[in-house]
Amino acid sequence: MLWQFPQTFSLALRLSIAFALSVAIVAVAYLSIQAILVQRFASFITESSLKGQTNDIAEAIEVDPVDGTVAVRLARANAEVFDAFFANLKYRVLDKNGRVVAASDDRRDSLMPAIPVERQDGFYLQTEIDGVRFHVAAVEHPIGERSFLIQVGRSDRFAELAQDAIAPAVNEAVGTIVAISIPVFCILSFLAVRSVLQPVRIASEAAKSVGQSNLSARLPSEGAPAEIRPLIVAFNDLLARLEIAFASQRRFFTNAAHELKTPIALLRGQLEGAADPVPAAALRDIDAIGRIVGQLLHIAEVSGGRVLEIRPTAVGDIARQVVAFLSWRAEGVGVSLHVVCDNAEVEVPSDQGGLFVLLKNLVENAVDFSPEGATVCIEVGADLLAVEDQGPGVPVEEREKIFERFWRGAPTDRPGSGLGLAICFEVAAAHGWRIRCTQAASGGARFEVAFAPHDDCPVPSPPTERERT
Amino acid sequence: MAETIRVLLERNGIACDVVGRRDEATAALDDSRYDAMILDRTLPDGDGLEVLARLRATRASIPCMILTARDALGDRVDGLDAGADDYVTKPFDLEEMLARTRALLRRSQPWIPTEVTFGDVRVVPQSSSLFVASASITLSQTELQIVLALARNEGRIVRRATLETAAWGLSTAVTPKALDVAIHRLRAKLAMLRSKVSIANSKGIGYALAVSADV
Repeated sequence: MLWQFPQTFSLALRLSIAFALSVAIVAVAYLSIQAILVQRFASFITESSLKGQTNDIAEAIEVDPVDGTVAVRLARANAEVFDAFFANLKYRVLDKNGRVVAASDDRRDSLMPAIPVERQDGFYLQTEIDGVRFHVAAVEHPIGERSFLIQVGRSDRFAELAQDAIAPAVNEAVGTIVAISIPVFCILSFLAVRSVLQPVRIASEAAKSVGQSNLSARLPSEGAPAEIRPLIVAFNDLLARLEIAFASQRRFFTNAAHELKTPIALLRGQLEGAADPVPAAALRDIDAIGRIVGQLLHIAEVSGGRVLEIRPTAVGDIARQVVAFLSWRAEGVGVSLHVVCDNAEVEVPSDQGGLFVLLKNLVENAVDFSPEGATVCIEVGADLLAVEDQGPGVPVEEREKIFERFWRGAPTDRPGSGLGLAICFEVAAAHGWRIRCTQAASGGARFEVAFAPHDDCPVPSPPTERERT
Repeated sequence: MAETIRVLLERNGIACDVVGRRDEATAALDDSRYDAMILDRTLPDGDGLEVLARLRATRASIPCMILTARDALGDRVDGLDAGADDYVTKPFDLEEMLARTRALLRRSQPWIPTEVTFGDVRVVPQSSSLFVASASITLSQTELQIVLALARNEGRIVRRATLETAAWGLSTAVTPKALDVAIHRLRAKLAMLRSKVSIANSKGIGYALAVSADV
């Protein structure tokens, strides 16, 4: 296509413009053809209109059944035209012998002087009568057993007069019709397209509201035009397949979690209950396995295209849930969890489950790297969530790599799968948030999650998985 | 799994019944009055969450802990939305499990207040947290018991021996310095939260909470 509509134009606007352009093109074409016809084919038009007039006269011929005299009784309007323009518009009716039996005026001079009567049927020619140029047409017309030749002649002057009288009015009428019809057409087509697309709008509103929690919803296809119904039906089929896929994905995570974690929990319970003293190293290893299993399932879930259930979430509440969840573990290693929340009412549109896991992983990580007696500070603001520890901090060159999957940094005896922060990154990216690692005033690590509107914040590209040898 | 938990709870003086199916759980809840419920979600006849949903729809508030392997991102939200008071995922520490169960049981006994307040300070034993307005900090069990003992006495002096017993019990021998260290840490935490409450020292006798007007 040589020219395309700007993408922001709606379908209704595009169609209206297309309609308006086509009406304008038709109008221009009409006026051009008219001008060309008038200029180039004037004689052709004259001929066909003269032949039409001979037919009028043929229908008006009456033959007296008694004496056989011929009279032409034209309709009044027609007769008046011949009377009014007698010098420029004439007709004659001739019998088979070439005798004039009726005429528009008394001067019965020949309209076709040089051609024999029997060869005049269907003829058209131009001739001069008294120095005036005439167009003449002749038609044979049988009535009963007799046959007549009807000749009609019209001068150029008459044609010029008629054109001068009619052309401006015709042009004005065409111009007015075009001028009125373009806006009317535009408005009507805009309204028509809008009403045609109404079901599409309803369907897209319905589609927008479909989330993981109501995947069983289907788009309404009632009232949709036949062209659009297949699209809605196809979309509903897609939703059905998606619903099945999500259900089976969810079932997989549920089953995998149950099958993997229950034996680990049993093992831990048995070890803890039976052995005295409890073998601390074995328990630590079991906990590490449990944690890795949990994190593998989480990373598979967050990177597997899980649909977020975004709703306004009080970040302070999530922070308190995380503290309640980890307080036992923190106390076990002598670390306090401090929540600073300027405004308890702060709500951020987010997926509650995702936000909990993000914050839990950040705090878990901070607890792991804190010395005994230290405090981990969780800062909740309207546009920022930060977790700060008093540990050794993260070297500048590792502050980006730390979000890669399975990144472990320098060898350490601390627990961890190297997946916790990668999960944080994925959850943040899925929300359009930015997560970064900096240094706290105490020298420890500070992790910041900047909540930003989805539009303004370029979603960071997930780090590639490090090649492991 | 359930058997391990039953042994753990009974060893610690908490009587319990174990059922393995959803319908048995509903029947047991109809028959007896329980102080708390520990619920696994993956049951042979369906999602355990429906037991809780039915319970919450029909009857009052038996405190409920969900103890499950189900740990997908949405599961926890579903559990809390259904009315669970706590959501613990497998594998878990038995000691932690016991502590959480005790916290759960406290909820069902109205004569034991779950929260204690003094001045602008609010102590929440369940999460071992001390709140000032919306800011909070976690406390060790020692610190928690000391601050609870102080707060319940509403500004009166609490003897050192009483505080030591509250914090460490009768059986454990502690050095006199240990209490001073714990008090020092508590003062630091109160200061961190910018609380108007301070801990006053009556030399040789004990400690008391005080509210200062000019902070």
